[in-house]
Amino acid sequence: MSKQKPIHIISFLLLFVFAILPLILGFGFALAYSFGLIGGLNQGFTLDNWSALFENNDVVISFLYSGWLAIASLTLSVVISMAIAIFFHKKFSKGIYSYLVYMPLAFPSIVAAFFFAQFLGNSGILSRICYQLGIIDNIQSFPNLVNDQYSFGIIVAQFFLSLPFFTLLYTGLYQTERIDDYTQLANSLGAKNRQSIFRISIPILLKKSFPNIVMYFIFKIGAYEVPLLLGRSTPETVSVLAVRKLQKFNLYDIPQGYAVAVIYTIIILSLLMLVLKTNKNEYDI
Amino acid sequence: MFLQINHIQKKYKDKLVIQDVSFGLEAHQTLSILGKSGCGKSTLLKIIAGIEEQNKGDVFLNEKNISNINSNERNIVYLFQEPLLFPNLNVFENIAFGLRIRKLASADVEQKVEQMLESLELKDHDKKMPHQISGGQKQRVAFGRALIINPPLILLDEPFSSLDVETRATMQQLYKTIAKKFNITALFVTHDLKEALLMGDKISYMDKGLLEIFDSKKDFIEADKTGVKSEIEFWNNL
Repeated sequence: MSKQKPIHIISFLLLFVFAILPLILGFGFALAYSFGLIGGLNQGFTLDNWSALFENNDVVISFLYSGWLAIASLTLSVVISMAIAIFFHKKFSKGIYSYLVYMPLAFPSIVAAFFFAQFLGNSGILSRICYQLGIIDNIQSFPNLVNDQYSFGIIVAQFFLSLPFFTLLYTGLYQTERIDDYTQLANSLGAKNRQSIFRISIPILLKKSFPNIVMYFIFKIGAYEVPLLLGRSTPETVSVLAVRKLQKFNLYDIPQGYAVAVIYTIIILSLLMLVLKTNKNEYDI
Repeated sequence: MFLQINHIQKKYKDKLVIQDVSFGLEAHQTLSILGKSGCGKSTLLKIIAGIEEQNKGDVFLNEKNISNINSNERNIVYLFQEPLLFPNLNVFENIAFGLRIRKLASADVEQKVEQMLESLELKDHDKKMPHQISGGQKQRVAFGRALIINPPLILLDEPFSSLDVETRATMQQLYKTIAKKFNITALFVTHDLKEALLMGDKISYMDKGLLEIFDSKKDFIEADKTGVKSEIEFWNNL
C-alpha cells in the first residue's frame, strides 16, 4: 500500500472538518429535527411533521415557484449575455465596457432588491418618469411590477444580478474556446453567419457553460432577499417558506421548516450529482 | 489557370505582411508554400479563403473574380493548423456538417458520410466525440469534413504541424492518396522542407511577403534561400 504524504492527509482533514463535516452535521440535524428525534418540543420519532407539511400543496408550489423564478431569470441572463458575447465580444474584452460589466457584481442582493422596489414600484422612479413624460395619467395606471402576480420585479432583479456573471463567463469562453476560429471554419465550409451561430457558437458555449448554469440555478433557487422584498406573500420561494416556518410564532412549525431544508438539500445534491456526471473530464487522447 | 492570384497586398496597420504576390495554379495540382513563421503565408491563404481582406489585388477561381465574395460563398475550404473539430458534434456529424448546412436529404448525407468514413478508415469511430480520438484521427476527420463538400480548392495551413513524426508521415501519405483519388487542387503551407518537397506538385518559397514559384524541384533544391543545400550539407558532414 502506498504511503500517504502528510500534506495530503492534512489537506483532506481540513477539507473534511471545514467543508464536509458541517454539511453532514447540518443535514443530520435537520433530518433528526424533522423526524422529531431532537428539539425542545419534539417527543420522539414521528412522521407527523412530514405529513403535516404535505397536507396542502404549499411546499410543492414553493419548489415549483422557486424553480420557475430561477429558470426565468437564468434564461434571460443566458440569452442576453450570450448575444453580447457573440456580437460584442471585442467591446467587452477591453476598454470601458470591460470595467462597467463588473459593476452589478458589487451590488449585494438586498441592495438590488431595495433598488428595484424603489425603481419599479407604483410610486417609484419609473412610474414618476412615465408620468412626467405623459405616458400615464396617474400613478394608479402604472402596472404592478413589484409584488406582482407574474413576479416581474423578482425576475428583473435576479436578471440584473446574474447578467454580469454570465457576460463575463461567455466573453471569456468566446476567447478560450476559439469561437472566432470555429465560425471562420464553419463559414469556409459554406455556413451562413446565422447557421454558424445556431449550429456551432451557441451549442459550444452552452455545452461549456452547462455546469455554471446548473450551479447558478442552485444558487438562485435558494434566493432569499429578492423574493422576500419583491415577491407576494403567496406563493413563497423555498427559502422564504423555510425561514417563515423556522422563525415565526408557532414553534410546532419548526420541524416542518427543517423538513423543507432536507428536501431542498436532497434536490440540490441531486443537481450537483448531475453536474458532476455530465461534466466528466474531457481529455485528448 | 484554375487559380490566379494577381498582385495581392496586405497591410496590418503600418506593417506590410504581403508585398506583392502573384501566381497561378492548374487544376488538380498541389502547390507547396514553404516559409518561415511570420512570412505571410497563412495570411495569403486566409485572403484566398475570404477570411481576411486584401488591401490590393484580385483572386480568380476558374476565371471568375471572387475577391469580393463572402467566404461562405467561395466554396474554398481553409484547414487550420489544428483540426478544429466542432466539439459539440461527433465524428459523423463533423464530417456531415457541410452537407447538413446545404440541406441535403438525410439519406444522401448518411450515404456520403459512410463512404467518406470508409475511405478515411474511420468507420469504427463515427459515434465518438472529438476528445475521444487521437490527433491523427482528428486530422483525418478534418480532411473528410472538407472533402465531402467537394470544394474546388483546399487551403491547408500547416495541417500536420501538431502531429508526431510517425503520424505526420502517415498523414502525408494519406494526403497524397486522397489528393489523387479526389483530384484535389490545393495550396499546402508548411515550414518543413521535407514536407514541402513531398506534398507539392509545384513548390514555392515565401519570404518577407513575396512568393517565388520554382519551375522544378531541382531549381528549388539549388536555390540558396530555400535552405535545401545547407540541409544536405549538414547530413553529409554528420
